Amino acid sequence: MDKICPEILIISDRHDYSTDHVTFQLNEGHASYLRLNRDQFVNFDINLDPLKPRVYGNTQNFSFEIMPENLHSIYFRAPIYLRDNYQPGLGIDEQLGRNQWASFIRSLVVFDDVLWVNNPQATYKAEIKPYQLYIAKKLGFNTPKTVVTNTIPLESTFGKKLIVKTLDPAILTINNKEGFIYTNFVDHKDLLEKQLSSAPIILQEALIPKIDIRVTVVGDIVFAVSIKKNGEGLNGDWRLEKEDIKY
Amino acid sequence: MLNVLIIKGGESVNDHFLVDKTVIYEKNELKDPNNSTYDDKLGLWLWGLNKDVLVKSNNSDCPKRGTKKCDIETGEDQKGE
Repeated sequence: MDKICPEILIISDRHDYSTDHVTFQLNEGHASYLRLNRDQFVNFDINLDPLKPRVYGNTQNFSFEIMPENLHSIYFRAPIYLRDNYQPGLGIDEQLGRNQWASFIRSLVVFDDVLWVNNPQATYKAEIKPYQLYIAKKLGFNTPKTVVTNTIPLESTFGKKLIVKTLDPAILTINNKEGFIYTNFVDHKDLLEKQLSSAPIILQEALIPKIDIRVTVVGDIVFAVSIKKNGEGLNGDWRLEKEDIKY
Repeated sequence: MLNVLIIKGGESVNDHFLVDKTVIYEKNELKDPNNSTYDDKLGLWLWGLNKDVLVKSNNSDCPKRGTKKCDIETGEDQKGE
């Protein structure tokens, strides 16, 4: 049986097809890599020795050993924590498995001398929206007026049009369906009569017109992609119009 | 990808403002792409008899995967959950 001792470890999921683009390029370049998919762990024999540290295991077709002597980098395509772990319909075994495997992959931070893209610890902080804004402002970016609140002042200091969004991505289960809350444009006066006390929101000055730009930074290289519809930016949440947009 | 989009009305007048704004869709069951196999060693989905790399295939019959437009919107970093 072949044994893989990778220089590049990829933590992903079989259905995360974006990772296929990366593994394709690595394979073309004859790189030493191993893609471990979280949804396949249950089919593998897998062991983590946190003291050496080492991960070793067997699949049906090959064995692997991940060790600091060989490992250069980890590409971490996984959630830092599961936001929907206790959704209805999950069996006890599945709940336990999801929870514990999520912790297993976080435990890979024992490989602390390799290049992480991105380290879960860094991602944890980066997912905190108020922290994103705090750092953006600190770095000199223009930032919209923002408050995290569960109340609306009678007079708006942010203008008449406001942005309301969740403090953290919210995935809700509603009658066997799933719900997601996108960014909303709202008139200040319409918010005054709404109930906000049961959960904090991000209330923000609306930037209109705007163009969303998604930026990926790898080392010193910056990849910036604007998101437009009919050649112009979208004032609403672009994720609701995916079929009609161009990157 | 969203199957069905329904803008939800709140279940009660006491619902939080954002509950009214929840966009509801059918739960998307993750299914393997048609006529495809996953190669554990390569870490790649392969499609068809010729085992083309799924995300690189230009064949019009090949399922489209691996673009931002195909992403399931589950937050910043769920990645397949």
